[in-house]
Amino acid sequence: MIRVIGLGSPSGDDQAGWLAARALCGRFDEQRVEVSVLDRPGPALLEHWYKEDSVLLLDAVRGAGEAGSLHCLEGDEIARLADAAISSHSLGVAECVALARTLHAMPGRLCLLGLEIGPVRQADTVSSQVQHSLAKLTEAAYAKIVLWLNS
Amino acid sequence: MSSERRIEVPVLTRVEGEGALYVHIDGTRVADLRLNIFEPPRFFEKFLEGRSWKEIPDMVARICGICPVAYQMSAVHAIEAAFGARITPAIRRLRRLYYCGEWMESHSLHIHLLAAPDFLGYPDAMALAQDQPGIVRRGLRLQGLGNAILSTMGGRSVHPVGARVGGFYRAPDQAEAVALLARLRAAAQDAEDLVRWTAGLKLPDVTRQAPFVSLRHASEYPMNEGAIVSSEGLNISAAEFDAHVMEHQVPHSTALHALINGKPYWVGPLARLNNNLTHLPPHTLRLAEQTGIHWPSANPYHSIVARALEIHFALHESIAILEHYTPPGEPFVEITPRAGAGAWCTEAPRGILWQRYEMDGEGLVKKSRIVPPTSQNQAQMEADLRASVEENLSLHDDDLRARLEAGIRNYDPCISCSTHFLNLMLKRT
Repeated sequence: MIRVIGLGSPSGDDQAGWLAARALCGRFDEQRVEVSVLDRPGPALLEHWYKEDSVLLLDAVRGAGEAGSLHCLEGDEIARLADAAISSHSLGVAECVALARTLHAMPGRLCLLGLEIGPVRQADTVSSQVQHSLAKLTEAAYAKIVLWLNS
Repeated sequence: MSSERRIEVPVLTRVEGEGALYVHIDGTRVADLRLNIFEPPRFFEKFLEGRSWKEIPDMVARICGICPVAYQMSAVHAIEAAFGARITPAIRRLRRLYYCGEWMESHSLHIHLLAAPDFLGYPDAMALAQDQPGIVRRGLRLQGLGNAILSTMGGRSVHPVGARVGGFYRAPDQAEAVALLARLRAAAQDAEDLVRWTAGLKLPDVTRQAPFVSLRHASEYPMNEGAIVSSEGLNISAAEFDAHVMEHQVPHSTALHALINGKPYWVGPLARLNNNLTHLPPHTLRLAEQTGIHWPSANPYHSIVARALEIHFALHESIAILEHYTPPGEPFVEITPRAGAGAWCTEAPRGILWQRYEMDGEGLVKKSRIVPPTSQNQAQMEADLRASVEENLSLHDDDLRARLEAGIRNYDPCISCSTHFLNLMLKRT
């Protein structure tokens, strides 16, 4: 099973992963590709995949480029970003993936597509800059899913 | 060689928020000890002024990502008290279920990701997970169950939005309740094993004398209701809290220290368990007795066992609520705002959380106060740390530092929550 998980929250540009995931709904056979969104799951993220799955995480990211740029990280590359001094208030995606790796609970294939957002702003909607870049995230996700389906 | 030693922990790790510890030892005397809280003050009480009663539950949920339910529950009860509203028994049971979810989620995270590495000689939770993956997996399963309850009742597990003054926006349907019940029943062995595992940890053997302060209810283990009691005979209502608890500012902390009748006191799972042993259900009480700990315990390190026992209790309490569940006709009672004041106290995972609201006739907040558990524990934490230094003077600095950090983490301080108030002096010329 390919599991596409949009991560984020209802706040401003942090919705980017959700919006991209929702844009993929209905574009694939649901028996082979499951699309879902999660609201800051913390370590519960590990409950959303099995070892034999291919998991594509879509998320808003910050700190590695200009707003609107796209990052692609695979498996251990994500875990290497983890902060060892874990606080239960700040167990982010990297820490969760590192935990999954340690617990031998990694899915067969794991990829994070991250859309760089600008300064965090409180808003109901995404900024125009992120809105313009969403298609890039969605299409990159689409291409990855097709690649996995054909491999 | 100088007999002076200075121990500094510039940034505390594996705690919630930003704090530090400074200790000055002069010979065998602790000349100075300060638990520095430099998390910025958050002025939440001021934000709430002028806001409608309808907004408050969602706003206070933002104070903490781990214990939003506690903030919501103290707020809704306090505002209902101000309005003279009475909820139904069915809503009361749903609120209790909601709180069970938070205890399970918060306690499981603290035990496994924050506290346990200290008692097993690991630098962090990753190292623990490496060596003992089954233990951490079990913790994550129990934490996930707590989150499942929060999502069912609150719409989502982080900053949930399902609670409102008068009840909930939506109650679970029968199918959701049945599915949740099945998951909870399947985790019963996990909860029991967790208690036995924590009881087997090699915990420091210390005794700290301070009043245990918690809620106490006439017939049940307290969550949303009860008198505020202490192990030294205090027995007051939430409305009387202000008359007995004195908050004061110390120069080194953005969080207020609290004293009860002039003395540091202790809130949290151990204080709660100590004061409410007779209200544990028989199977949880039997497990408590089998831990080999003589309850009530004055050893703060027994908090990890108390947390595990409360997970066991919360899991079985959730099962009991869901076994007899039928969706209520209306998940909330109608609210009619009126001018007045109301205070309430509930049991957050980290201890009693008191709130008071003054409302106007339109249902807008005129004034609010929030006293979270971590700020109540701060004076006692410093007293405990002083005693720990004196007991461990022979340790090398690194070992002493590690011991003190473990001692702080053991209280599960939520520094982000505790920085709720700061006197702001503004001079205009």
